[in-house]
Amino acid sequence: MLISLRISLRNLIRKKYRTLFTLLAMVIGIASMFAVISTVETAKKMTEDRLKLYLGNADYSILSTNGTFSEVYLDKIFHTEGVDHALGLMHRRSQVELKEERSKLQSRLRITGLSSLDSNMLHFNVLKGNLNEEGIIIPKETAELWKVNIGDTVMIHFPSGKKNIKIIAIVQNTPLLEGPNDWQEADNKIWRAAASLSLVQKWYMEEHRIDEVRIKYDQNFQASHITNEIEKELLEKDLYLQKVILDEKQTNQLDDLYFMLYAVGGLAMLISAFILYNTLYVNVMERRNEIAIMKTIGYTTQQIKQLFLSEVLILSVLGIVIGIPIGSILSKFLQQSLFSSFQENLTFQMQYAYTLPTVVTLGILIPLIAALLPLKFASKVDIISNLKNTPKESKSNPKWRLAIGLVLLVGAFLPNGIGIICIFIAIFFLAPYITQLLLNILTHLKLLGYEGKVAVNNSKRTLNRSASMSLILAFVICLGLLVSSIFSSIEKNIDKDLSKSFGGNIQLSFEAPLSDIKMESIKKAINGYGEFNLYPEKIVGWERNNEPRQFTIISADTNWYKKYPLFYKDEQSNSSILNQLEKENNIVLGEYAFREWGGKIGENITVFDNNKKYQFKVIGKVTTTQHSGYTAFVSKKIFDQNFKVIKPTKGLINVRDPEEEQQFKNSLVDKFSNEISDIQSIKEEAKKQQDTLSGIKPLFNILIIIAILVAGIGILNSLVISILDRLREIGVMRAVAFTNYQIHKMIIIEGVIIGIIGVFIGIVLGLVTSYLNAQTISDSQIDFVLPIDTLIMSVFSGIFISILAAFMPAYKATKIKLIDSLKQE
Amino acid sequence: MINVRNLKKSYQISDDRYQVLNDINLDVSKGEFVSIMGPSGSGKSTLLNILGGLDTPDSGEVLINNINIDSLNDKKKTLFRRENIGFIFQNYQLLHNMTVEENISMPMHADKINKNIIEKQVKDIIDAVGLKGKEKNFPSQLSGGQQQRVSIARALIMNPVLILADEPTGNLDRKTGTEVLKLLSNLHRNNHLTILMVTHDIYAASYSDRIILLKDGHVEMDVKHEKEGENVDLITNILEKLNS
Repeated sequence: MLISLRISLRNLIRKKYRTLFTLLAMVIGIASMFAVISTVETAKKMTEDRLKLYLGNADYSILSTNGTFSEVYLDKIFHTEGVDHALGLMHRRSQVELKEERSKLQSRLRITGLSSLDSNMLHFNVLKGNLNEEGIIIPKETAELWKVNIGDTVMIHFPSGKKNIKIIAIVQNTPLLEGPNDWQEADNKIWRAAASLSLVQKWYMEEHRIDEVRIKYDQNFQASHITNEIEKELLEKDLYLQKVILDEKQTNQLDDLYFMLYAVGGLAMLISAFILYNTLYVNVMERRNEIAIMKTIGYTTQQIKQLFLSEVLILSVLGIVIGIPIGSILSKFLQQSLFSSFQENLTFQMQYAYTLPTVVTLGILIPLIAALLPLKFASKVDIISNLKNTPKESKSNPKWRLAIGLVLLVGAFLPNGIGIICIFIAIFFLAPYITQLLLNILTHLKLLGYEGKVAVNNSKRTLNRSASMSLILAFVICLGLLVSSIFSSIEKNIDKDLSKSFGGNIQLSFEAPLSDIKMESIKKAINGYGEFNLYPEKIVGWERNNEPRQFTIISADTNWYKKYPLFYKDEQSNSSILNQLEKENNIVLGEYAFREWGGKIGENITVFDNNKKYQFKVIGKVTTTQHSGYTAFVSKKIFDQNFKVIKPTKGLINVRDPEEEQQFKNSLVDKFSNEISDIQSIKEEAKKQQDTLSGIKPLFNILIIIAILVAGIGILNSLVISILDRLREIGVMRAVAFTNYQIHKMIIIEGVIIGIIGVFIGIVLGLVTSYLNAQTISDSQIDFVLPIDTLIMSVFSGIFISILAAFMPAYKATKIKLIDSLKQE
Repeated sequence: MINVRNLKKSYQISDDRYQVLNDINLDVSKGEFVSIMGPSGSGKSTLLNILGGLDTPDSGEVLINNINIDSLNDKKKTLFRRENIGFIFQNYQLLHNMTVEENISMPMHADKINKNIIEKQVKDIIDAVGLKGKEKNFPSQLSGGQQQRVSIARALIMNPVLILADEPTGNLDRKTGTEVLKLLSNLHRNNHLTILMVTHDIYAASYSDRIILLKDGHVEMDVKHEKEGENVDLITNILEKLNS
């Protein structure tokens, strides 16, 4: 083994350029794979942690349909058998006055009162100050924007009057205190602070009242037993126990994004594996004579394979050792790009626990798979023909390859994404034929002069190698076009989707369920400006493959929805859905909820609330902006019949005069600053979605540029190998006719040919898959959009990278000593 | 036509330096058919390569039609070679992916000569070397002798003033070799071509009208003879020199 390692190392060093470029491709492949996997892993962990933090690591919550309830329950629950910990909460609204004058919209503050500021359920990471003093706690980012420090005071409006409140601690950002990151964001996002529960009760004159009790169960007790014990304590009718379900889909719907990230990272690794295959194949071909001699003197097939395997292992280990640190740097860039698109100031800890073993395993496994075929060739080397140097007849591609390709092409018409897979495999089989056809066309076009003609001939000779390189470039371009088409389509449809499902032109959320008196005063304030609809919604549990899940059911007022719907369905009129919704136990699911549920229209979905089960018949799947589609709608009548919560927490307004929209919004915030938690106009929502999209786009641009780079290295590698194959020929050309410039031109044209064919196949493949993808995905946000800018960029970048990749081989070809090249066999 | 003055060339192999050509001086007139002979390592191929501008001397100069080929840059050297020198190699050096006519016409295409002229000239030269009917064949479909004829045709297609042939019959049997030699001899006689042929085969050398014997990097003997294939005394003399 040691000897074969030593020989392999010597072989790699002898072919230093080839080894260098193969290694470079592997490093980029491994780095991209590492970056993508760790980005997704970190994002998943972070969203889960944030959800846990936000929910205070609770197992259950006690809530009231009236909004608040007596603090006595906190004490009772705390002392119930099996309860590990209980935390009482109260959220209240206010206005904050800072030294710099700010609009009312930008001065909204939510104060959360906590029965314990230092519990194991909700822990603050204190940067400065002392939690035991009297005052409020704010996150670092808020302190910086408010330009305050511990000990400073801010003026806060309470029902009992304005008060100067001291800042007692500045803490690291946490989901409970997540506020705006800049003043512009403060128009739509509220500031958040925490204080002790008793203080908030005092400030709001609500002594001994709380909004919620979060409960952590003791793991040593049976959950059902604890639940029973707690329910015995809940004497008042309006109180109910709700299971806390960590369903990150409620806040994090990034599966499609993760999939696209994996696709690009995987492609980079695939390209580098192909480059390794190419290199090994040429190594074997070059050393046929050597292999034949080894066989003659008694080397077994296994020993010969071992020799080449050692080369693969050396390259893999080097690729991993160099690729992983580069990957971790790249992943930091990707994380920042991804998280900045969330438009939240997030702190995150990179996650490598799963990434590291996965990448190391794949980093060895994929090259070994790539080596299988060249190893087979090595073991099959014929002694006699190679020692005699009998010229090999070049084999044309077998007919069955064409047949399989054509049959698979017909499969493009198959539904549900199978068509796309069929096309990809078909193109893989057909690539040499398409390349041959395009080369014939290029020959007839005679655009590239005599050097072009020779270059075309050379490409024909190494048809499979040229076709494979073009195919790799094509896959990168195809992926770029597909991703770009999806983004363009989403961008284009944002306004359309919002106008069809915004439920008016202003959406409101309230901090707590509205009392009848509050509702009346809000109605009065809105009257005259336009129409409005206040409605409740309810978080309910449901199950998928025995895994507890949670989404929000919205009470749909069918009369309002007839004019200003919160959802739509392309194939069915809204009135027909609304009519069906009025019937008993019918429900429509948002697209994302429908996909997660996995059932069929007409089937029943079971939801849980307060330990009760409800069966609803799913009558449709609709597009909605609410909860990003991870939601469901039932008619108001059915909602009121089934669920305890009947007080509205949301509102929809349609302002008659759009010019009055902003003014009206401001006046509403003025009047109800303590009640309104969020207010968003349709224009603001559109801008927010556009900004999110603009944040994600660079992430993919980076990855696609990396994939193009790897494809470029592949072309370079392929051309270097092709030139090494033809050293003698190039020598003859230089000796009898060709100037260095002409040799340069010929090799660069060979690169351009790979580029042109790759770009052509890539564009056709990209457009077809984008079209089929739009047809397959039911998400109405995805239409087929021709991304002209990406298309033009693909043409230029594909050909540019090919020219760039051809420069070094071309230079190398002209620098080889004429006499040496003429001596080559 | 060719003037070689004080030509020196050495190669470094590991720690040792080998003097391959040591102060070579020679003149070749227009229309001469010269054989360069010598034992292995005597520097005959190196001399031919330097004459053709494929290799560079350490010192001294090589003038072809009063042009110092070594003083030309890469591009000018290629153009000079293309227009003035035809190469014939022992292993033919044909491009396997090109047909007979494509191999022959390659220098003309590289020179961007009019397509009609190329077609006519290629047809004529194919007739002249006796390859009519093989125009569309690839080298692998030809015998060794036929491949060497293609190589000769390619060397002649640009109407060069000088043909440099490196062991042109080295890979051929005696019968085919004789055919190739006769072809070269006819071309020399009819077209007044200057030919420099490296060979270790005395029979091949007997077709030339001057034999230069190289030994240990210098000219050991330089003799002229009249009749091809008949000068027994001279051949015996050279054999003795070679074996001594």
